Amino acid sequence: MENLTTTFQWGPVLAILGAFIALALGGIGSSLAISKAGQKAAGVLAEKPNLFGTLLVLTALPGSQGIYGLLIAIFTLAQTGMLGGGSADVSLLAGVMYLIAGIVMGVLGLTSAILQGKVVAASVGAVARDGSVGGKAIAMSVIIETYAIFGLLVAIFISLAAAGM
Amino acid sequence: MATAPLTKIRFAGAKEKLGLFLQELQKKGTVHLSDLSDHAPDEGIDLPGFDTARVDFLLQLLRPYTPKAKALAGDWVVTDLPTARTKSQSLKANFDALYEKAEAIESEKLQTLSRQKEIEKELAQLAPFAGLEVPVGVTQGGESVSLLIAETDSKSFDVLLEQLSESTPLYDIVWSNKSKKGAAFAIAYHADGAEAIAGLKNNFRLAEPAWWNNASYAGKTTDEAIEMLKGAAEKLEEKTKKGEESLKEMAGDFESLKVFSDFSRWKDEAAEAGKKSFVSDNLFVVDGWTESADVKSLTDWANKAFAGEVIATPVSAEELAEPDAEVVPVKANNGALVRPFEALTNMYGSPTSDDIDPTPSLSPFFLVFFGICLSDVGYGLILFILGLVYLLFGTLSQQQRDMYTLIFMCGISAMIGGVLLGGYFGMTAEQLPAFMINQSGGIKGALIDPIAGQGPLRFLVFSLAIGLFQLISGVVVQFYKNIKQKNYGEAFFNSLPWFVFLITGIAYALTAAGQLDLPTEPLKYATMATAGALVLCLGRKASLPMVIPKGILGLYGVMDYVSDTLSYSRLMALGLATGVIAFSMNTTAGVLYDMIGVPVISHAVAAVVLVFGHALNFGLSLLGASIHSMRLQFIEFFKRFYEGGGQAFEPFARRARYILFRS
Repeated sequence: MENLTTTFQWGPVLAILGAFIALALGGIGSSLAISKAGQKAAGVLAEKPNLFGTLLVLTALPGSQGIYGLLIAIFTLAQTGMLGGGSADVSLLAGVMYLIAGIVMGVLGLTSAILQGKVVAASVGAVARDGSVGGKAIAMSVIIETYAIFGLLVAIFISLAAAGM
Repeated sequence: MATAPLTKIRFAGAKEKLGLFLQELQKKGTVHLSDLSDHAPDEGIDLPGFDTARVDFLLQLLRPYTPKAKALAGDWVVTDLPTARTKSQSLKANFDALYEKAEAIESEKLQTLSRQKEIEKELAQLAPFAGLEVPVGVTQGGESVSLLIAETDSKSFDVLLEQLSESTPLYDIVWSNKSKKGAAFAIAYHADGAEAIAGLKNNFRLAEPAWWNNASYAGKTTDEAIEMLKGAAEKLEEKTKKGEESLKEMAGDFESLKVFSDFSRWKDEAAEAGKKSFVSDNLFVVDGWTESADVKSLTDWANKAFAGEVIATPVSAEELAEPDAEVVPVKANNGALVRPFEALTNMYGSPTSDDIDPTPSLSPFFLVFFGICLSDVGYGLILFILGLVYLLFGTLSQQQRDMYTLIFMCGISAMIGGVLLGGYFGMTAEQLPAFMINQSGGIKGALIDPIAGQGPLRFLVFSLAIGLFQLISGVVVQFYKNIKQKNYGEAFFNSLPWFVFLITGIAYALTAAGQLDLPTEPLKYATMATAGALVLCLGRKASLPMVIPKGILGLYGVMDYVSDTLSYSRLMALGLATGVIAFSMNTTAGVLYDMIGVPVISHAVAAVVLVFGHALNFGLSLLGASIHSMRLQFIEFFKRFYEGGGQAFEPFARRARYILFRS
């Protein structure tokens, strides 16, 4: 046990875990949300194929959280030197900080994406009834993304702080 | 910004002239019709149209029998108006007969197909019994001899034979056919053994095949029945071929059918337009909007072309019955390089008549963002070549030309992005030719290495910086819009203070971070001063005690800018993702090549992985680059100055699906 705690490199492992959590939870959230929105949009498309462009943009909106998760994952790997294939000299404290950054992004990304998916699905309904409200529907659907962006911001700050540890 | 001024125009005339007038107006193609149906008396008017559904049916039916269109020519029939009219009229004369013939062939084809499927099913049922010489339908071999015809699986057949031999000697296996699929058999048995046979039938769930009592096979052996069915199938096949030859013959003049399709649809649309008109017992009124520059020529045309039975007059804003309720359409009037981006603006929503057209502002940013997100010279080259080939050699409508122009420009942008970020089909510096490598071992022209060292951070900062630049540009456009709408209060007490505050704030932040060599203290005080001015401007409409609190609350809008700026980080994520996935495809191909190690096969496998991998990456990256570049325009950029919700100018015109008139 003593060997495990002294020889096992927890720092890089925790950092990678953080990257994974950010990516996985963000991706899951976006997948669920886009699935919900996309199913509704597909139904509308059958009746009104001319709305394809607006519906495509609406359906893609909840994809942002997955991108933010990817961003934090890449950022973490880059900051720890692992992105280019190099070895990582990451202290335990830094590893924990990267992990927390990943959890912050992951949890906020997952939650905001799922809920944004519901808003987008409702917006698709609005656009189906009146195609001219596309812009307003898009604007309504992104308000909730603000909280994912706050999570991204804090995760970046934590990652930058961890790089100095 | 670029919208054409429009004027409302009113046409009035004798009711019986409405149909002709609408057809001629449609040919003009310069008027956006207003809907007066709400004001019309209940009777309305039904103008003769055309059942375009029948034409579409014929087109769909005959299309598979036409030669495949050349890729660059598309589905267009390039012709002039007199030739098109002649073709259309000649087809119109024969249309009903053509339609009835095609309908009859199609109906017969469906029935033949159904019968062919039935025959296939029957053949499958008879096949196990091929070789049985007992005529179909025979169940008795004499007074005391009966016949059991049945089939079962191979294993059960073996067990059945064992049990049969144990239960009664009064039987004979007349015929059997055992294979892996199953066993078919005919067993003759004496009446005294009937009980034992009945028991075995029950145990093994044996039953006579349903077709054994089919009257159409009566008296024939199984082989004869199979031959009969095959003969019937062949006759049906011949019938189908004859039908297809007839359709092929009918498809010989497919071009005329396409031309006729357009003419008939135009007639139908003109009839539909009649429903937007105001029609009384004797008169009609048609309202519409046209470019102000065209008003005189349109008025002169209408007043002369109908022998005085139709008159046209422009309607001024003062003369409008309900000026506030009037929805004025907007016609974009952009140059050839900006026009392709109008499709993006229309996806969000057309501008209202008192708003600006955001397309000229949107176009450079969309291109730049697209280039950053795709950021690969190879992928950009594909788009560039695709666009160029179609623009130079393709037969294209104006809309298609705009689309390929957009693709062409996006290709150039992606190539530039690829050069700046060192993206060449995901290849590393070691894999590129020597002339592309600089002295320090990096790729020539690459300003940022997005995956090594501080590259990702620099790329992120670059993305955020370009995003912030767009946001500030949005404030500038907002200022312009307020000036144009004579909304001077908003221009000078909202847009301008925000602009100044943002510029000084960013300059101060960069100076304090050591990125700019400017005096820090003066900038600090300038930022505080501009923030104070902004607070006062934002709170100007409140009562005196509430000016500052309201202003400070308004200053919270700076968080909006922060969160919007962060949204541009997706440019970095998408740009990086394209390169990393391309690199992964190359690595996978390399690994497989090394693993297989057999000269030709390893080359082939690696080539397949490369082609499919890059095709997949190209498709996904293209989709991501387009959608997210659009999203940044619609949400972060438009938020500053644009609402949309207007009505696009859609002239009542002959919109062709197939005819391209030679200009």
